[in-house]
Amino acid sequence: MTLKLNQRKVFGIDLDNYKIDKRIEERLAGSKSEEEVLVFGSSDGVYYFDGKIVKKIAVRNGPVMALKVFDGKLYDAGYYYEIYRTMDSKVVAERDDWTMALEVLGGVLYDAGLYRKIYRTMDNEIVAKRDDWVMTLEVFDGKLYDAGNYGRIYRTMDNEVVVDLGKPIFCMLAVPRSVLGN
Amino acid sequence: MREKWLRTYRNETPVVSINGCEMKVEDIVVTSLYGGINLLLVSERGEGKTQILNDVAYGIFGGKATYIRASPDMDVKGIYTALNLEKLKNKEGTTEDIVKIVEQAKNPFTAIDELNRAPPIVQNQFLNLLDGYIEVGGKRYYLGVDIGGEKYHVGFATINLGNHRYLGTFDIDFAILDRFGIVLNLDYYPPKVEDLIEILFSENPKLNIPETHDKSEKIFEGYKNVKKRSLPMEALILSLYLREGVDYISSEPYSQRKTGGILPEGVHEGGDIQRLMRPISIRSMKNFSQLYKSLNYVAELKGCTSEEDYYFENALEVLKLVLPYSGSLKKEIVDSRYYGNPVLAAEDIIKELREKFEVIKDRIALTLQKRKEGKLSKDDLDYFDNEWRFLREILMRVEI
Repeated sequence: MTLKLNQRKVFGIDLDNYKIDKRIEERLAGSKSEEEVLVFGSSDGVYYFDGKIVKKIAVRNGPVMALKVFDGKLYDAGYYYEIYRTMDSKVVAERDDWTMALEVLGGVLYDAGLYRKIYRTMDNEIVAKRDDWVMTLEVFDGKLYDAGNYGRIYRTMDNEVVVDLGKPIFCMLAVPRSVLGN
Repeated sequence: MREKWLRTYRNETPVVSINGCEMKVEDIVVTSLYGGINLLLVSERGEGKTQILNDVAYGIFGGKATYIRASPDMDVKGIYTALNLEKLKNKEGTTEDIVKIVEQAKNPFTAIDELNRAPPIVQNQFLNLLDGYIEVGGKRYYLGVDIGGEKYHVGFATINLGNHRYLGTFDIDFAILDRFGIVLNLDYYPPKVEDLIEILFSENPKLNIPETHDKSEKIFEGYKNVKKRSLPMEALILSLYLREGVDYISSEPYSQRKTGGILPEGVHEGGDIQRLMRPISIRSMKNFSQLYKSLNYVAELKGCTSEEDYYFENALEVLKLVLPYSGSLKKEIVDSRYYGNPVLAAEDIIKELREKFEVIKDRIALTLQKRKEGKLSKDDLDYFDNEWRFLREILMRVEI
């Protein structure tokens, strides 16, 4: 049986004047690496994009603010009071406020957030305390660093202030110097 | 001024939006009449369900209606009495009597009030009524009016919830629910304050039998018109996704139908559509199609013209009426995550469908364009895999 298409537009796309966007074409061509998917957090859960389709892989009660792979498993945290192993939604830790950052160093998962502390996630050991919200964690030169509303960057484990900016710091990323150009 | 169909019932709360136009309870009632779609009205007691039955029976069908009020002590004989088929059942009366009686079964509209109060054996007879016939002495008599070689008959029923105990619609026999193309829970669409004021100041605060008006011919004409309409591509793809796409699970045996809706461990754990629902039935697909066409017809009568840009959103809106009581939602998930409210669960499914199609729609458009230009290759079709595999069948068959 044939299906007669009596429409000019399908899904709002005009078939007569459809010029495929380069970015869409790349997306539609599929992910170059079959093994890799892009995981992202949204206001209601965790999703992934495999170059073809978007799939929701976990439902959460609030925005997902941090994602990390630890020991081959994906973990998520955010504007909720738990840290989850994402794929089976198992709660691995509970906090009394929202979590803003997850980071792994030396085979250990760390978390930090509005509770003004940095935890070793799996055994709930507090490794550092701060006087305001912790917004970000990053590994740099083999060491863990934290920053946040307190306007400073700490080397977490020995509480050494390495930067005192005087205004909030929301994110950090360690990159090769060459990325910055000359 | 737009036509007033329900002469007494007042409710300006929107239920769905079609062609960008708000469709209210009255519009849904008219949609079911034009579509020949059975309608089940559900709510707490005293929310106007019986008033709607009266408004339709007298104000639209001019009293050419059969009214059955179900009760716990009702027996099957009670249905025959309501339909004046008693003599026929008892093989009494003259040929003339029989002709007269059968004539009375020609009412285009049957209203069953408080359907769930009848004992199960009587409810089984209701199934036949809702399918448009009744069996007497092993013979089938079709109900309704002959219009151009076919019978027109539509059934409305009401169910009360409450009585100090929760009676969810899941507690209603699925065989009954399945007979209704639309299940409207009026508790989710309560009248606005302006409606309540009007109701309070009406001349007769009690149940009203409206003045008799016969608009049957208009309904029959509309019914024929709706039947002639075709379903847009977006609606076709969406309904097939709900059957074939939702059936797909990403590990053996790759089909929810084969696992009875149970998902293997580690599959679709994160709140996917497959976790929330089973594939819809063929009957639900047909309901969806007829409802889509009829809702569009009514929207157009209201002056909201159909444009291609609306097609997909319209289809999602139709799902709001079809999905909650389609029997496809997984009860345990609806109970645990949505307070037992299937409308909330359906809203989440619709949200997810919108996101899924947002991603795939460019590819569909590209493939259709290639088809149009005669450049469609096997690779293009092979792209649609897993839950989208059914699209190959559609795209191969499209003639542009």
